[in-house]
Amino acid sequence: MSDELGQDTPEPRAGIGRRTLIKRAAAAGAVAWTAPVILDSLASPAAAASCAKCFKFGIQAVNTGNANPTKTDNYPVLSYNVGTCLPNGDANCVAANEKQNVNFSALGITLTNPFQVNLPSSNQVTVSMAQSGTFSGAGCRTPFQIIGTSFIWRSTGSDPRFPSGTGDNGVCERAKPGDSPTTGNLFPNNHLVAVSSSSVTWTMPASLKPGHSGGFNFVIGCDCG
Amino acid sequence: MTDAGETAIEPSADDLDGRFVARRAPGMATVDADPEALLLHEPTGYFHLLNPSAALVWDCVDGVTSASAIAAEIGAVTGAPFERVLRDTLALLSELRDAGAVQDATSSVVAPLPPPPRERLAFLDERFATAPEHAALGVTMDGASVTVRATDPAPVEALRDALGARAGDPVPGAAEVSILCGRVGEVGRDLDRVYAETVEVTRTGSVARAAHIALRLVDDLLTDVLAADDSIVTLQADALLDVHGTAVLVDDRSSVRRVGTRTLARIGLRRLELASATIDPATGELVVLTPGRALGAAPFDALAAAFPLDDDVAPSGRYRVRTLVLLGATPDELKTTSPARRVGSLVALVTGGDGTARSADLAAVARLAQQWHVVRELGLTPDDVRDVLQTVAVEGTV
Repeated sequence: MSDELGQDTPEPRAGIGRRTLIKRAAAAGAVAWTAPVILDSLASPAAAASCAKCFKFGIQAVNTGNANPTKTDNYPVLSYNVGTCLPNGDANCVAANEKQNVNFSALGITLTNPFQVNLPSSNQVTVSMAQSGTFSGAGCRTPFQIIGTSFIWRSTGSDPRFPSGTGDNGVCERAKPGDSPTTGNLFPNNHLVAVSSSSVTWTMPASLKPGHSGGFNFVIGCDCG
Repeated sequence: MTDAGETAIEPSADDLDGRFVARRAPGMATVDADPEALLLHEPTGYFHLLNPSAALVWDCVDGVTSASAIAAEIGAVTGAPFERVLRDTLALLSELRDAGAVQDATSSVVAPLPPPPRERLAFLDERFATAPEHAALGVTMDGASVTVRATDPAPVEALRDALGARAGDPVPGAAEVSILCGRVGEVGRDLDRVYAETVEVTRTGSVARAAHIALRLVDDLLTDVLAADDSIVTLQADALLDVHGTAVLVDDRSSVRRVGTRTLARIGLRRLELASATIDPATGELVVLTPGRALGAAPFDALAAAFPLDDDVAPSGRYRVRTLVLLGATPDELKTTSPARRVGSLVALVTGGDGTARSADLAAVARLAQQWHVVRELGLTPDDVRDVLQTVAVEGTV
């Protein structure tokens, strides 16, 4: 790989310089004319994939009282006073593509560790999306790509991490590939560990609300090029 | 330039024809990835990957030569029919124009796009807004200012004592070092987090250590070496040091960055507390600069007297880099053989918190990455992290 560069690249001189460049390339066998194309235009490597289809789903613990859910739940998950907490890409994935009450195994979803938001931050929950295989519930093909995700959880009014108030307090934390734990949209606390196109990991926030009281939303791209 | 090139005007799928003269848009820089190319818009970090034919056309975009002339020239050396080359060239130029990479050379000159506003972390500001005890100080030297703020007053007061007369009021718009002090809940106390602008540098349970790191960051930011010194490449990467004194660079987004100190210690690694990894492009070494370049040694000595230094603060020096751990955001990035895509996978390493990226840094790290062992990580599962760490450990024994 050549590493020559042009910072503020001067445009090549017309005439001899450019022709020489082309002829050298031709002599080296580098020029067999094929259609010139932009392979990708990216704001970050995370945006590399383009997907033809999508689906979206929620994973919710509190609704079923189950810390180890095996099926998708309502999308979006319960609001907990912070709105719908829709993840990135939601607007481009229509409601008809929502997958509710579908077995994770039919959607290529893997959930690790108990999903209880009252656990301490040492407990991490990872949701991974299949990169190969056939998953009849998805209605489209792998590799699946996480377009956006959100973590919604609630605690009590006595939780010192929240502004003063009464009643249940909810938190919406959004993330998308390319984000890091220092990315915005994470208020009042940041529980994102890492997110990529294939998986996301959150730490549990040690909610003071007894029970599970939380959920994840996902928008997933599929038939990705 | 041939007559055919001047006169043959082929219709295109767009509004362009063979008379179109393109010039490169301001801010566009090229990093060659022979035979492909990567076009980087430095003010925003946005980039385009070109296949070999597109890279050839891009080389010919000079603000003077028409599309027909370019097509004629390329057709002459490749043997491809002029009409086909022209049609393809116009289609590419149309795409590049739509992407903002080229402009009509006959139009009035457009000023370079300004850098986007500095990204603010909403949750940082919100934390300070809800921390009634928060405190801040400013340090100004030679026209450069840095603000240190903390959600609790203790670290700021410690720094004020250490800085003495250099400590003043915060200057609006100055670069910021933020300390989010851990909060006490029923399940224990959160760690303190130290940020250099938008980058989280460290998490620690020690206020003293947070103050030490903050002072070092102030010194770095005042020296401005991270932004202005062309002899140093700044990477958005974490650095680990192994028992042999060699460094492992870790993509800022990598899951390895979240691995605990004790786990790292078990495989013979310790984390260096750096705002950014600075690399000597000539040697590929990690350069840990001596603190006090801007502030002098006195504040560091004063702080160390009040809060003795642990041995986990990075010692100054130069360290050979042996491994680069990259977060592969897509499966394609792991298996690609495209030179441009491989260079593209490094862009995040040189994109700063304000979204700007320097092509000089990108070219340097692309060259250096050929010397380093590169571990590409896909996604994050416990197995992924274990695999990456095992790879790093094994490499360290070679």
